[in-house]
Amino acid sequence: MNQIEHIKGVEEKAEKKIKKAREEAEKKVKLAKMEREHIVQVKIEDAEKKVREMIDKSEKRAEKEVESLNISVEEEIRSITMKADSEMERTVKLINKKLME
Amino acid sequence: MGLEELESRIMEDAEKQIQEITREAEGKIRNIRKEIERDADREAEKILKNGEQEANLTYRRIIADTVIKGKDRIEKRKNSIIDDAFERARKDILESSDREKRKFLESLIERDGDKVPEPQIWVDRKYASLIKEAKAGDIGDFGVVIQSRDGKIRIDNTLTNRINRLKTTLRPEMSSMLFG
Repeated sequence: MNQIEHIKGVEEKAEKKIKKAREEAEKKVKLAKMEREHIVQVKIEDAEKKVREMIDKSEKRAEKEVESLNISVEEEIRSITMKADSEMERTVKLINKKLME
Repeated sequence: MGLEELESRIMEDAEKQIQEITREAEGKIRNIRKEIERDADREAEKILKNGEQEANLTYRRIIADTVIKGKDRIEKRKNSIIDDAFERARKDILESSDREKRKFLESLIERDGDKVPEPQIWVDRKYASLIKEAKAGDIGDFGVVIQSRDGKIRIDNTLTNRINRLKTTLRPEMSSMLFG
């Protein structure tokens, strides 16, 4: 009788250990699932940072181009003004002539 | 089988089960992490792809804006030069001699006088002395207004009106002369 009781006790002890192991395993799985949000968030933040860097780089590249485009426009305006100055008298004469027609 | 052996077998079985549970859980965790990494990478990739497009668009938008603004500035400069030419022409006429002014007024009358039945010529009071056949009124500008007696037909040949009309018709010729 004592032996049966003893074996039952051992079985119960084993069951408890298994139950505890199962609970711990479930807990670990649950924790792993809970990590999702954090991992995704970290990757998203990293990607967003890279995007900001890309946009900054594009803006800086464009700014350089803008500088050179503005210089070209200034030069064109200067050249237009010079050419127009040299032709102004002839143009005014043409207007006067057309006004009289 | 002795008692000790039975006890040890029970504990060994339990240990095996525990190991199996742990292995299964570890497998599940590995898969979950893999899945999370895959999903996170996919999200990040999507953000990076959109970001790349946004960066390209940003560059193109800034350049396009600058090109448009540049063209606009050039066009405004050209317009201002053309306006300046008309202003100089207006000044030339207004500062010309009375003889020249009369000649100009006569040319305006001659230009459209026959288009109006029984024409009445109006000039501003300020210039009434220049042309005797014209009536003096408050036109507020140099030039003439030709009007039929019944007032139904009216041709406005004031300097401002003539210049405004020429601004449209003469622009191509002026552009090629000034900027061509």
